[in-house]
Amino acid sequence: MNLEYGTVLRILMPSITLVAISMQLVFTSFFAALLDIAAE
Amino acid sequence: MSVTDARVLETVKPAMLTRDEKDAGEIELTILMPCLNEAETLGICISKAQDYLARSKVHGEVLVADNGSTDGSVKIAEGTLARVMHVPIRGYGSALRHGIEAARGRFVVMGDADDSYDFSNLDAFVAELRAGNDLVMGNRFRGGIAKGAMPPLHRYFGNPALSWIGRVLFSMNVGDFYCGLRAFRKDAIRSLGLVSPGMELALEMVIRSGIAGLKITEVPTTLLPDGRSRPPHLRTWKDGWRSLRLFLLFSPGWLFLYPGLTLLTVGLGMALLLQLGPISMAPNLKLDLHTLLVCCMATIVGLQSVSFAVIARSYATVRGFLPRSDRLEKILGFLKLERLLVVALIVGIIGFAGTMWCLIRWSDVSFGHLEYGTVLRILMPSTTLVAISMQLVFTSFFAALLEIAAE
Repeated sequence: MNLEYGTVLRILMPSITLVAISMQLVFTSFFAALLDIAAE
Repeated sequence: MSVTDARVLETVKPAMLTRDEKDAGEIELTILMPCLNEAETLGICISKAQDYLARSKVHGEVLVADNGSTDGSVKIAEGTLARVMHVPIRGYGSALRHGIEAARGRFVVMGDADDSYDFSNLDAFVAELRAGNDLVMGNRFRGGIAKGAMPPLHRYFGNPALSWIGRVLFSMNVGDFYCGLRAFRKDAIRSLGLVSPGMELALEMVIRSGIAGLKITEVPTTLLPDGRSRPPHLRTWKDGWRSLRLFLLFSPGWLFLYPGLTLLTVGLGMALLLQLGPISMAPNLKLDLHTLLVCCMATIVGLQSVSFAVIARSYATVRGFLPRSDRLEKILGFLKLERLLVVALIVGIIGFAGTMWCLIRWSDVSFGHLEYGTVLRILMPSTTLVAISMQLVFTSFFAALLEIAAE
């Protein structure tokens, strides 16, 4: 249904950004660990 | 640190020295036992292994790779016919790697010196190696696990679950990834260049053998309660996580590519549809700008993940961890730095133009209140394109940097 844009977006945008950042952190951590192994 | 760099001291029994030096190249089997404070059980393990060699008439040796024991294990081993080497670099993997390097046999059987494995019955392992297999894994689930030999959490959950993950990720038919009793052709395993210093080495050996296409089989083996009074070195959750981490690290496809492609496909596809207008899924379910926002984020993260997949796979190939792939070579041949920068530039220009259009609309209302729907439907994809363009630039340069480093 229709949502009131302002209020919801003000919460949704930072929330989704945090989720995206957390996923990028996971991927980056594994990537760094892989490079670490390969460098040994 | 490589094995040759390490200061590895070795004690060789005079009784074996004569024979070994005469025909060191002819030794068929080394029974290797990594050891860290196993005084309670080391003697019986060596005795069983030597009984096996005598009974089976296999020309072999027993090698103890001691990892800094302080409980008299070394003295016990030196009191037998076993060869003893001192590995100063701590860690189960380190002890094993040095032991494998020092092994004189063409084949190596390795097993923990805690009397939980039966060193007196290695016929099946030797037979499979002689039949041409490169790695022969013991399978305790097929051979039998005595009561109290393995905690229920490991037996019914941890080991089967992680072994299942290993089978799925690496398409290998190994039922017990963690079995400490295994045998292998020394040259085949040495050629893998294993690196793990800790308990992960046992897993790395199986995974990389599978990736390298070595011939792997398994034989049933038994597990008895260990004979020591101290608790085992294994830590359930910490070591379980280390295992899972290793599985993922050696599988860039499952770690980066498949999640990334899913996010990218779903995110981009839905974003394109929502660009045209709201989508009614049901009378009370309408997808609109909020879903578009989620899709834009999914697209950005998905693309990043796919980029990591390509770079990780390429780097792992260069370093010899993963085999070469014609398809990957073709993709990498296409994804040159300059070409990616041109794509990034085009994407960035489109995103920038969309953002400018929104700015103009805002200026039309003297930078006051905007009608959300119309502007956001353009602004969100536009800023996403700008972000993607910047990610492409950074990732391209990063990949080029790694390429230089790898050469």
